[in-house]
Amino acid sequence: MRLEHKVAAVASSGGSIGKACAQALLKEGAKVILLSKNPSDFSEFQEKEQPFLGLPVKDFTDEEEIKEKAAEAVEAFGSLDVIVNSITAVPEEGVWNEIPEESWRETFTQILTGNLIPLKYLVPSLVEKESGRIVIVSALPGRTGVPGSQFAYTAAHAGLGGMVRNIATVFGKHSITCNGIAAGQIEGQAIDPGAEGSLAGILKEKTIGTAQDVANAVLYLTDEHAAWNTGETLDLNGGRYMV
Amino acid sequence: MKRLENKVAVFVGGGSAVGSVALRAFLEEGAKVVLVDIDEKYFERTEEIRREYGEERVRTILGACTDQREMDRAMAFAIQAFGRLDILLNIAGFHGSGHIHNIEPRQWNLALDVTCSGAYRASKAAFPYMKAQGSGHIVNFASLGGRGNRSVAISYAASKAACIGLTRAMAMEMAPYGVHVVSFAPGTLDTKEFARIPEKGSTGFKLPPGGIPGMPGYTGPLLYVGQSVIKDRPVADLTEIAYALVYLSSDESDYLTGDCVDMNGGILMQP
Repeated sequence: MRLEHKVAAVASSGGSIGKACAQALLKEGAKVILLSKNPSDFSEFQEKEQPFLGLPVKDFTDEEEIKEKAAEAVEAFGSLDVIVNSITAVPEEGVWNEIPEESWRETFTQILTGNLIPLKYLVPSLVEKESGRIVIVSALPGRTGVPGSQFAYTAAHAGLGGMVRNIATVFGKHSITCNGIAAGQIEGQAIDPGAEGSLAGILKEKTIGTAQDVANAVLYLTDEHAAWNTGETLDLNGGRYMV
Repeated sequence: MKRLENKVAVFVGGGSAVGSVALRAFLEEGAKVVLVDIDEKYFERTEEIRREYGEERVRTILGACTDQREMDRAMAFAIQAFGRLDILLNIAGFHGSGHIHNIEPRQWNLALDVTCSGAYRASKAAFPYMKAQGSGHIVNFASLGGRGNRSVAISYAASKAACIGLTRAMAMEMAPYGVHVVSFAPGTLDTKEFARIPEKGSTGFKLPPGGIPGMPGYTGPLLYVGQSVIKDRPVADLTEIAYALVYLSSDESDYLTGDCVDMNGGILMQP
């Protein structure tokens, strides 16, 4: 039970990764709050007696909504130790300089602001405790050239790396760590449609990862032994990109 | 079920401080372990825990990673003792000492031969068994010193970086057989609980004129050397490293290969 006595908030735009992280954290003894844009994420948790709270979210960029949901999340079990963000958006496909401005602006907003706002309202609880773990899940196109990848999606995911490093640097003095997981192609997680076929890894019988693989990496970065991991981005992509 | 239940691990350089602490974590997580090192005196550090778990769980064998036959023999010994080979930790390394103007060729050669070629020889010896099994995890112990701009001996910086490059090449070659290869690059280790055993063949660290930025006695201009961003945590903790190695050696990290995984308190945040 690697996360016994811990409270974890998972913020998910609704893909397989967010839910798998919530499940894995619960399994390791944490109390879990799942904030998700996908209402069907909650059903399996409610069937069992578990220390779990599901909070449906319409828009992670809506400060009023998130301020309220974050307060509920923190109140649920009295405090907070771990925050996991798995928030992304599927971009509009098209020729890069023909995509309408409101479309590419929305991609930036949903990915960058969408990750920022829940952290804005949840991180203060970690600061209060003078300890904590933050993990931001991003995508492979933010790390390296992926043929077909859309420019705003790529730039936004790369931006999440900068966010990881900044948060790590600023909050280290409160013994809070912040790390990223840049995931390659994961089952059940939407990808940038233009990048189809360019994301697979090279491992025998495992060119595509599972949401459990990401959840395992989240456990690695959030348990008590990860106190000196910070500012890192773990590339989890089956050997597609090695650095 | 324990995280390394039924797994067999070989630690080359198993008598090191890292190896000695990792041994406990691996045993507690259900693994069987073979420690390989160049001198019996290194095994004294783990005498107690080895007695506690007994020979059905942990064995030792002498072997130098500078000799292919000794590595072949060590892996065959693990198969004979425990029937399989799932994990190889290449922990053995050699610092060398000196800077560009005074590094001795012998020190340079030994650093490359142990740190980089040693990992290669051990992996070459282990690979046929892992290939036959269709699975395996190899972790090459690199260092922050090989990863970025650090004031370390020139032989250390080069040999650790070579080890990281070797890792990627091996990861590419072994991927079709289900074998994962990663490197691990922690910052400075806190080894104060261990009595220091000087590296075989080392000649002691010679400071360049004016000293080294970040170390006592430095007299040069102020240079950025990077510090941990985490309050009260300037160096790595061996137990934390041991559990990172558990993750990297287990099925939990089965979608990871070729990466150099950091642990450095934010001293160096690679993009």
